[in-house]
Amino acid sequence: MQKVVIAEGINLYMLPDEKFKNCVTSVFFSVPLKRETASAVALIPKLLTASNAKYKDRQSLNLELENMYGARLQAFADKVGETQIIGFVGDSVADRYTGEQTESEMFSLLAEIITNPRKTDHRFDERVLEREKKSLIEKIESVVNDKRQYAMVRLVEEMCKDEPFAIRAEGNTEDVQALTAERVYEVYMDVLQNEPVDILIAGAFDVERAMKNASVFATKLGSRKAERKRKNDIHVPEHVKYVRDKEPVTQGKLVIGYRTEIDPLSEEYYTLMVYNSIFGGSTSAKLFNEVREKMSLCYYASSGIERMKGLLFVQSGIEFANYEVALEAIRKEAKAIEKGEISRAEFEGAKNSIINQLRSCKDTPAALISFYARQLPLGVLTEIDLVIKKIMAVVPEQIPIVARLIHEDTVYFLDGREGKAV
Amino acid sequence: MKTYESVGETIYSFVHKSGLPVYVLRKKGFAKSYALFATDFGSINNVFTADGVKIKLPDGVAHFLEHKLFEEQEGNVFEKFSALGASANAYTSFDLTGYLFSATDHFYESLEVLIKFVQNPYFTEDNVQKEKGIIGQEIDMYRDDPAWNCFFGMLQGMYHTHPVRHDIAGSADSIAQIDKTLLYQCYNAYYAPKNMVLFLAGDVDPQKVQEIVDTVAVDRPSPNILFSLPEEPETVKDAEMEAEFMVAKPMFTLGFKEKPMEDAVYAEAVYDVLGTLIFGKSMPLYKQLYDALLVGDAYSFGYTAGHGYAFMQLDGESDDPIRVREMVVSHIEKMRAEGIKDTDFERVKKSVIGKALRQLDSVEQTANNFVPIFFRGGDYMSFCDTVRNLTLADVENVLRNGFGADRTVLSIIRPKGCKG
Repeated sequence: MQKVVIAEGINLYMLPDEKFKNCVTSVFFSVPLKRETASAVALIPKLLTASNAKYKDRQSLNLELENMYGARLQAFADKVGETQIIGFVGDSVADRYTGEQTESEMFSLLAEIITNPRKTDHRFDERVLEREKKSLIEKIESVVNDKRQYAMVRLVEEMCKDEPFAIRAEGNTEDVQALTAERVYEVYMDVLQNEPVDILIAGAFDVERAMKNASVFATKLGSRKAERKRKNDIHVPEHVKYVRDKEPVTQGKLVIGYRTEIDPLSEEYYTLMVYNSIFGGSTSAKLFNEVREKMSLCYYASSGIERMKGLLFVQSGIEFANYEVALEAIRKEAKAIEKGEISRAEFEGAKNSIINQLRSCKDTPAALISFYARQLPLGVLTEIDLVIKKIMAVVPEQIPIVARLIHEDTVYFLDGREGKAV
Repeated sequence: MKTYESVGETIYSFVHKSGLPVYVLRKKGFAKSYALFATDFGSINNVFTADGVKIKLPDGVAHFLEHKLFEEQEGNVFEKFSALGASANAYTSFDLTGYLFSATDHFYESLEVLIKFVQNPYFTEDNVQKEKGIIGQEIDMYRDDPAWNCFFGMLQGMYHTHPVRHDIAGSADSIAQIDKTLLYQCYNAYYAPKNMVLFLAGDVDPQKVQEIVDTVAVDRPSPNILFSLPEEPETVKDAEMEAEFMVAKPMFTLGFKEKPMEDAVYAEAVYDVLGTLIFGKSMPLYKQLYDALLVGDAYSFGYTAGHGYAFMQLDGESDDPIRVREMVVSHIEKMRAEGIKDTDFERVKKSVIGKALRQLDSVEQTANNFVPIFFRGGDYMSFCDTVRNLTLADVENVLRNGFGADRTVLSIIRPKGCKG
C-alpha cells in the first residue's frame, strides 16, 4: 500500500493490482459520533447524491454512471466505534476493458458530487431536503424488518445507553424531522472544511494518474488540522443487565454484549480476534459445534468484535422456550475457553479461518477498501500481511489470559411468546 | 481450453470417466480459489421416476439432503475444511444444490475433501432426526423475514402448480416426513456424476485438478431419471397476495410471469437489458415513482428463470403498492407504443456489460452465475458477447410478447395491525 499526504489532513492510499478488471475509488470523511450532528451527517451523503449542480436528480446521475460502463456509486454513513464515517465509493471497470477514461471520470464524478451540491446561498434545496428526510426516516424505521439486526440495535441501545456508541449511524427519526436546510448545510460545510479526509483506491489503475486525479481534492477541499481523538473507553461492568422485548416474532433472538479490557491498538487485540474465532467466529467455533450442531438449539449462533470500543457480541436465533438453556450453553463455552479447554483443531481452525478471510480480502477491491476503511478512526492503517503475521504469532496460552479480560455486560432477548406471530 | 477474448478469461474443461464434467476458470494472481460442486437437483425436482420407479417428495428434501451430506461417519466435514483453513458452505435453490469452499491455502487437499464428502453419504435415523431441530429453526428464521415472505407470496400467486411455489426448506410438517430411506433414494438418483458439475475458479493448475479428480472421483452408474413438471397454465393464480408482518412500511414484490426461453444466456441477456430499460434508475419510471413518494431507497428488480418457470420482479417499499402497479403497467404500455430509444438501448447495454465484467473479479459470483446456466445448457462466459449482439428488435420483441398486464402478481406485506 502506498500512502501519500496530498494536503494536510487529506491522505491518499493506493492499492494497485493489475489482476483485476475493476477499480474502486473511494473518499471518506471521519466525524466524531455525536447526537447533535449524527442525523445531519447521515443525511449528507443522501442529499449530495440526490441533487447536484451538475446532476440535477438521481436519474441524471444514474444516466452518467450507466454511460461509464455501468459504474456504481454508493454514498452512505456508517459508524466505526464512536466515529461516524461518510463514504463515497465508486466501482468502475478498468480502462483497458472500456477503452475509455473511466478511471479519471470516476474521480471527477466523486469531486463533483462531494463539493458541488445544489444549493441556494447557505442552504440545501428545500424540496430535495424534504424528500431525502423522508427517505432517511424510512431507513431508520426499517430496522424492524430484519429481526437479527433489530435485536442487535436494541442490545447496543441498552448496553451503551449513555455513550455515543448507542447513536445509530443513520441518526434518529425525531432529529431528522427537526433538520432545516440551513442546519444541514452548516454541518456539511464544517465536515467538508475541518474533518479528516481519506481517499482510498484499489484495483486496476495507473498510480501516476491516480495521484494527479486525487490532487483535485487537495485543491477543492483545502488542508485542515484534522485530529483524530481517541479516548480510552475501557470499563468493566459491575453486574449483568437483562433486557427483554416482546414483539410478534416466530423465532427468539438472544444477543449478549460483552466488554473487553482490550485497546484496539494493543497486541492483545490480535489474540482477541483468535478468541472470537474460537468462540463463535467460524464454523470451527465452539458456538457452532456445541450449541448448534450437538445441542441442535439454533440455526445460527455466532460472535463478532467491535474493535474500537473493545466490545464482543454473541447473536443467536432460538426457540423461545430454549432461552435459559441456550444462555447457559453459551456461558458454558465462554467458561471453557477461559479454562483453556481448547483443542488443537479448534485453535488452528480458528487461526486459519481468520487468515483465509484476510487473504481473501486481497481478491476484491471492494473488500480491500472496506478492510482499510474500518481502521480509519485509528489514524494508522495496519496492512493485511502484518495482521496475518500477528495472527500467526498467537499461541494457545494467550487465549485464556485474554478470556479473563472479557466481561458479560448485557443479555438481550427478543421474545415472541406474548402477541402470537402469524 | 476455451478463451473468451472480450472478457479476458480462459476456461479449461474435461469430463471424468464417470461422466462428471469439470471446469476450471484460471484467475492468475488471485489469492483465493473457489470450488463449487453442484447437482442438478433443487426444490422443484419433487416428482420424478428413477429407473421406472416413481417418487414423490415432501417439500424440503433437497435442502435437507444438503444439510445431511456434511455429516460423515467420523464426524462433521466442516472440521476437516477448517483444519485446512478453508471455509465451506452449501446452498439449495429451486434448481440445484451446491457444495462449496473457498481457500487461500491447501486448495488441492480441500478439493479432495469436497469431492469425497459429496460422494459419500452417511444418513442414519438418528442424525436425520437431529437435523430436524436445526432445520426447524432455519424455517422459523425465514418465517420472520418479511422480504422472503413477500417474495414467496408472489410466487404462490403466480404459479398454479409449478413446485417453485413451495418453500425451498419445506415446512415443519413436510420435513417431519423425511427419513433415511427417502434421502438415499434421492441421493442415488440425483447425485450420479453425470448429473453434476464441478466448477473451480482461482489461481489453480488444471493439470493438478485433473489428477485429483481422476484419483478421488467415484464412478458409478447413473439411473435413468425422468423429472416431470405438472402442467402450468400461462395465467397467474392470484393477482394479489397479502400478509401482515412486523414491518415499518408496506413492502411489495411485483412479479411478471414470463414464458421460459430455451436459450438461457440469451434470456438472461435480453431480460437484463429490457429490465433495466423499464425499471432502471436512469429511466423515467423510477423518477416518476420516486418523485411521487411511491418508492424510496429500497428498490430493486431482477429476472429469474429455471426449468419451466421465468419471471421478472420489482421489489420495494411503498405506502401504495397498488398505485405502483398501475404506474408500472401503464408505463410499459407507453413504452410499447413509443418504442425504445436507440441511445437508451446502447447506454444500457454498455452498463449491463460493465456490471458483468466487474463480477468476473469475484470467483464466487462467477461460479454462481456459471453453474445454473450450465445446467440449462448454456455458457455463462458468453454473456457479455450475447449482450453486445442484442438488437433493438430483440428487446422490443420481448416487450411486445411479455410483461402482460394480466400476468402480474402483486404481493404485499403490510405492517401488523394496520390492514387496509
